[in-house]
Amino acid sequence: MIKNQSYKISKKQNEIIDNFLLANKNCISTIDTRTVWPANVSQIEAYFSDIYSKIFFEKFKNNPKEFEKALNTLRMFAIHNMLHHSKVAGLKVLKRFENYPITQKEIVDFIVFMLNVAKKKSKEKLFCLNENYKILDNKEIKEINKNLIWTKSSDLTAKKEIGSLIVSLDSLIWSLYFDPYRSAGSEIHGPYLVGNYYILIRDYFDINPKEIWLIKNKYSSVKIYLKYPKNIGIKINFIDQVNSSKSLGKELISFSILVDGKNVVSLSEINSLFKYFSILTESQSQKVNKLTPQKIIKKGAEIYYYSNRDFFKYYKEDWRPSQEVYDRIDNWGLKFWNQYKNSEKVSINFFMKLFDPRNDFIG
Amino acid sequence: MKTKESKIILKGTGASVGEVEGVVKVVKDLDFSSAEFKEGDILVTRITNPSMIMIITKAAAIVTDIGGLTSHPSIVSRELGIPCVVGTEKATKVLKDGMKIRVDGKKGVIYKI
Repeated sequence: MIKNQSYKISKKQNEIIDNFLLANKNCISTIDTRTVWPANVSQIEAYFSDIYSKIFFEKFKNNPKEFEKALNTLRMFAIHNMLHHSKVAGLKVLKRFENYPITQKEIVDFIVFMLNVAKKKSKEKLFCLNENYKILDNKEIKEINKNLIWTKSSDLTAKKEIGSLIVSLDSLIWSLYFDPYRSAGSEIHGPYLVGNYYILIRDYFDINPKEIWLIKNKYSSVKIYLKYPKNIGIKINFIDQVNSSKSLGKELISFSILVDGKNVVSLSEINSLFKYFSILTESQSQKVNKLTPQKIIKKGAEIYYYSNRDFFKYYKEDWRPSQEVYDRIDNWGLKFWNQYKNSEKVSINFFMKLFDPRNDFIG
Repeated sequence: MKTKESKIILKGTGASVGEVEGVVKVVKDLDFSSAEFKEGDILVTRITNPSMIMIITKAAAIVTDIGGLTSHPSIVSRELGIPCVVGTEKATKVLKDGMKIRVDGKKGVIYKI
């Protein structure tokens, strides 16, 4: 906490921040920070977190109502992701190292504002604290369920085909957007209780990001609706990671798949799609694995900005990182890449202090 | 499935439930050939990444050195319905190509057969 704190944080503000921190704690407890591919968040964002946070803060300060409208163009996952990453740390860096005129109170007010926008998007308990990630209300999901063409996945072969397709799409998203920025092209939400089943929705809404990669994908989007039994134990956390106590692959009851809006029903079609996306994933991820660290940092910056492209489009601005971001990466070299390599697991307490806007801890 | 011959040789975090027996195939670097990985082999690696998609979908189970419950191998294993044990710290050192093992994805334990 800041010594001689001369501002007051309201009870409501403290509550929402505490809930946000708890949501992050729940996520981090299931992550091994050594495994984030191809680089962890700090290795990329340390170069420009202050620049990026400043963009958002200044728009907020200039006109909060317009800022809220712009933020609302983003999906819940994108807002959660920004807050989970360096939105808070970036403001602290601005204050401490860039002599930027921002007070601790302003940091708190701004972060709480963003948290409240995220809160309004959720149709379930705050920040997925009950491990439900819901963006549809009961009426909406019942309507969707009624209008979908559901196909039973009757045997293990069918279940394996669907599982393989999902894995190929998840892996494609990873390879296009890196582990930390999946929000740029996908969002998984649910589980929604409808009758005796849980419905999970896997929305791969952008699998052909031509603005950031030279890629030839004949498909742009896939949506997969999945029905599971009530005792499946599905959990989805604040940063849209799915966990379950039972095997999702084996427990699947029925599915509905839309590829660019068209229904796909036959297993042979699903198998063809799996093969297509697997080949694409393999070549895309091999491309990433061959990038130098500096190119990974630059591409990571590009992807992070791209993940919030609709926000910038609202302001009729170019979403791409400014030249200042690229110059920093060139001039600072591998300073932060090496510093934040995470050869050991990073403690949860470190992150709890870093994410808290009420202190000035940067690490 | 326990027999007199099986003993625990490795422990980690059980990330995807199920038990399976199979032959180890260690994939140590990114320059691997998916043709060398046979359907039903047990994938043993430091950590999976998306480039391994072809071998992941052929694997009977996955065992990794590092990883948590929401890391890539954990997520893909649950979707495929195959056992997975992550965070063993030394799978790629202890397990050798051709070794016959049993993977218990619920308990997070690997047995030598």
